[in-house]
Amino acid sequence: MPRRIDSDHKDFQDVYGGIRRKELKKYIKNGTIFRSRGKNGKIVVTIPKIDIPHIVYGDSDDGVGRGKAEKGDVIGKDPQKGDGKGKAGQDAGDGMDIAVDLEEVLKFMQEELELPDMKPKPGDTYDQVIKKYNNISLVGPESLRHNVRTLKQALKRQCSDGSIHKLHQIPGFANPVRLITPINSDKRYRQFSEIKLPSSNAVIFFARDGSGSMDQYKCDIVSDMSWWIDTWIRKFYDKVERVYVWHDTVAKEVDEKKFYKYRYGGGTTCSTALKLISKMFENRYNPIKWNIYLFYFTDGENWDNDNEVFCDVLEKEFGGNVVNMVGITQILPWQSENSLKQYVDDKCGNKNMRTTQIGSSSRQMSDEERDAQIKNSIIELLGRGSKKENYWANALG
Amino acid sequence: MNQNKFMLGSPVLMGDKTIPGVPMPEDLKRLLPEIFRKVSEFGCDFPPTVVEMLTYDEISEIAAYGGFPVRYPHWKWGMEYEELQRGYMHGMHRIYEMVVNTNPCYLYCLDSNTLLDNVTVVAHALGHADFFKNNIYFAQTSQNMMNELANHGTRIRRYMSRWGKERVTEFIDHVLRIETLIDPSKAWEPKRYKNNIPRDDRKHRHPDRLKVDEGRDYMDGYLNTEEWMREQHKKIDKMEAAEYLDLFVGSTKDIMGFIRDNAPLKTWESDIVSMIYEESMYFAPQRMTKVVNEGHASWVDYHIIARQGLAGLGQESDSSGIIEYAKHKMGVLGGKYSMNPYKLGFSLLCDIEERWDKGQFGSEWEYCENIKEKENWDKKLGLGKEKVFEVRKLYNDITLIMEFFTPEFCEKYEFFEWKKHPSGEYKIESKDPHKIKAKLVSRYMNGGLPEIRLVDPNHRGKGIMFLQHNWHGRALHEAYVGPVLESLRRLWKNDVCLATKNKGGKELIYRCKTDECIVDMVPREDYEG
Repeated sequence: MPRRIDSDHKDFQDVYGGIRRKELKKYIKNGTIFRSRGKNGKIVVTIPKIDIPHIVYGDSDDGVGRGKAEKGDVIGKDPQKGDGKGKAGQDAGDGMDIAVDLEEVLKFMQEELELPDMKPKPGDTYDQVIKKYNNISLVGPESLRHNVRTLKQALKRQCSDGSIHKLHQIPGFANPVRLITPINSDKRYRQFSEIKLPSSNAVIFFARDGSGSMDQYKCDIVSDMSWWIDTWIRKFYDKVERVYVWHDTVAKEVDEKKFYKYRYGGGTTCSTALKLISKMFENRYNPIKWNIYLFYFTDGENWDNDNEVFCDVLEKEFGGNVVNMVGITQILPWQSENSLKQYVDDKCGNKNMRTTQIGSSSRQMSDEERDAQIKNSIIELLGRGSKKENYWANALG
Repeated sequence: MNQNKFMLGSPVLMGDKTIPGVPMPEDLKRLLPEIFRKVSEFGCDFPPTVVEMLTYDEISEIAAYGGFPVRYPHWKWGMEYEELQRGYMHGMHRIYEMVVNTNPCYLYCLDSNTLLDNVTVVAHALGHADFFKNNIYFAQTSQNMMNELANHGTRIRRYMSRWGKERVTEFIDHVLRIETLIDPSKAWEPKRYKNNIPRDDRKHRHPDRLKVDEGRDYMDGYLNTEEWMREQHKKIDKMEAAEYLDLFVGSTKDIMGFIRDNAPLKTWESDIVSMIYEESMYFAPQRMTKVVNEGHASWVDYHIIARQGLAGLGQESDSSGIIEYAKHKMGVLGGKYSMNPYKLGFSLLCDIEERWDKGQFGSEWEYCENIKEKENWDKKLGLGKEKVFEVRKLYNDITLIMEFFTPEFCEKYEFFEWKKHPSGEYKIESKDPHKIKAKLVSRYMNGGLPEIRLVDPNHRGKGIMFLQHNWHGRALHEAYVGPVLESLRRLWKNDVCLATKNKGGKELIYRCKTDECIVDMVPREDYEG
C-alpha cells in the first residue's frame, strides 16, 4: 500500500535534487571544485542544509552546562577547528556534505565550463589494422570473384550493345532464351581495405620544474590542476598511463607522491625534462600506438640560454603528429617578462601547444582568486568545446 | 462508554490490530491495564488514551507529520522523514514514543523497544497526556486536531488541483517561513467572527488604458500590452494595500495574524494563511512548555517505575528491570556536561518535590540566615507531590525557571556557564547563579525564538511594514533573515524592514525592497538619512 509520506518524500527529493544541481554548478563555476579529489569515484561537496528558514537566533559562543567542573576547565573543543574545512554541521543553516558521482561532476563540467571532448590524434595512431573485404577490384584471383557484380557488369554491357536481345537455343529448353555471358573485362573481384582502429591508449606526462621557488603552495596548485586534467582526459580513453617527471638541471622520472611534494633542487634547465620524455617515445610510448599528452608546470624561471633549447626540442620532438596536446602552465612567476611562457609564446610555432599563467608576481592571491584562476587555466589548457548557442551567436553577430 | 472505568485501566480503547500498526505483543497487552491504573492512582488525570504499536517506518512517517496521520501535502514532511530514517539507519537516534495532544489521546510505541522500554514509555507518555490536559497554556488548544488537520489537508489538496501543485506549494513555502511570527496569547482573545457574507465595498478601480483612435480597435493589443496592464494592476494593488493600513493600532507580535487579515491576498491564499496560522497556534504552547512538559513526564515515569516498583513488571524478579530502566534514563537525561531541556525540567521538578516535602519554602525559609539550620531543614510536610502537580498545571518554561531556579538549586546540580574561546575550546566561565539564570531565561524566553514585533505597517506613509526585534544581546541568524523578509514581502506585496542590532549592539536595518525581493542590510543612521 503506498503511504502518504511517499509522495511528500518524493517532493522533497525533487527539491533536494534541484538544490544539489544548483550548488554543484556554483562549485564548478567558481572553481572551488578543483580543490577536492575524488575517492572511489565520488566527490564530496558541501551544500547548504535544506531547511525552512525562520527568524531565529544566530549561534552563540556561550551557554550553560552542568557537571562536576571548576572555573577555567576545558569542557570541549571544536572538532574541526584548524582543518580549514568550515564548521561542524550542528548550527542552523550550516551545510551538509554529500557525495556526488565523479561522472556527474564531469558531466556538469562539460556543461558549465564547455570543456572539449578529447579526440585521438589524427593520422597514424592506431592499435591494430583489420582487413575487411568491402571493396571491388578489376583484378584478382578467381577464388575471390564476385559473381553477382560480374553478372551485373555483363548485363550492362550486353544491354548497351544490344546483344542481350539475341536468342540462344539451349538444349533442354523448349524455347530459345536470352543469355548473359561475362567476358574477361566484366569480371569483378572482392578486394579488402585496411581499417586502422584509432588507439584508445593515452599517456599523460606531467612534468614540473623543481627549483627552490616551486614551494608547497605552488605544488598544491600543480596537484589540483593535474588531478582534474587527468580525470578529464581519462574520461575519453580506455587505458591511461601517467608519467611524472621532475627536473632541476637533470630530469628524472619520479612517482606521484614525490612529484607533488616540495623538493628543493639545484638550478633549472627546463629542456632536460622534454629530452627525457622524448626519449620515452622511442621504446615505451610509441607515438603510433599512444595518444600523448604533456603538461608542464613551471614558475617561468629558466637558465638564460635554455629557453632556446627548450623551444627547439618542443618544435622538433613534440609536433602535432607526435603529441596530441602540450600544455604549459606558469605559476606565480618571479618576473613576468622574459619568462619561459613569454618566450615560448613568441617563438614556438607548435599548433598543439597551449600556455597559461596563474597568479601575478606582485601579490599573494586570495583563495577565491586562486580557485578562479585554476579554473581559467584548465579551460585555457584544454580549450573550449563547441556549443550550439555559440554557433548561433556567432552566426547572428 | 464509562470514562472513569477506562481511566482505571480498562483496555477497551487499546489500539490492537489497527491499521497502520502491528499487533500489540501479548505480554505488554497484559501489563497495560496495570500501568494505566498505577498512573491514575498516582494522581495523573489523562484523557482516554489509545495505545498503538508501530514499526519504525510507520512511527517515523507519523513523527514526520508531527504526530498526525493526515496533513497537507508538502515536501517538508518528506525532509523530516528522511532525517529520521537516516538517523535511525546510522544508529544516531531513534524515537521511542510519540504522544499526540488530542482527545482521545494517541500514544505510539515502537515495536522494537524492549518490554521494559515500552512500559516506561507508556508511563512517560501518560505523564505527557496528563500535562496536555491540565496545563493552563493548553487550555485553548483544540482537542479535535486530528480531524481539523485532515480537513486542512483536504482543502489544500483541493487548491492544488485547482491552481496547480507548484503554485500552491510555493505559496505555502512562503507562509511557512513566517509561521513563528505569532502571538500565542492571542488564543485567549475572544474570536471575532466576521460577517461571513463576503462583500467587497472597496471602490472598484480600473487600470489605466491608453486610448486608441476611433475605428482602430485593432491597435489596442499593441498599445495596452500585457506588461503595461500588469504594471497598472500592480499600482492598483499597492494603492489598495495602502488603504488598508489605516486600521493599524499599536505594536503586535502577531505578524502572521496581521498578514492574514490585512495583506492583499486572494481568497485561496488567505485561506491557506489562516490554516497554517491555526496549526502554528496549536503547536505554540508545546514550544513554550518544553522543559516543564518533559520534566513532568520524566518525573511521572520515574515515580511509577522506580519508586513504585513497576520495573519488575513482566521481568524475572521485582528488581531486575531497574538497571535497564536506569540505562534508558541515562540515554535520555545523561551526557557529561550536557544540558538538555529534559534534564533541566526533571531536576527542577525533583528539587521542587524535595523542597516542599521538607517545607523549604515561604518567608521563614527565605529569611533564615543560619546555614547549618538550612542544611538540616526538614519539617516533614510531605507536600512535594501536590506542589509538582500544581506546577504542571500553572507554569510554563519561563515562569518555572524564574521561580524555582534558586542559587541553592544551581549549586546542588552543578550548573556552570561556558564560553567558546577563539582557539575553539569551550571553557567554563563562571558558576555565578544569577548569570546562569539570566542565560537560561534568555534562552527559553518567547519559546526560544527572537521576539519580533510589528511596530508600523504604514511606515513613512508608504505602506512599508516595519518590524522591530526586541534585542537582548543575541544577534539574529543572518542567513535566515533575508529569506523570511523576502517571503513577508511577497505576502505583504510591499517593502518590509526589520530593525535589529548585531552582537556589539550596533543598530541595523534589514530591508527588502524592489520586486526582485533583494534584502540588504544598512546601519540605522544610513536608513534614516
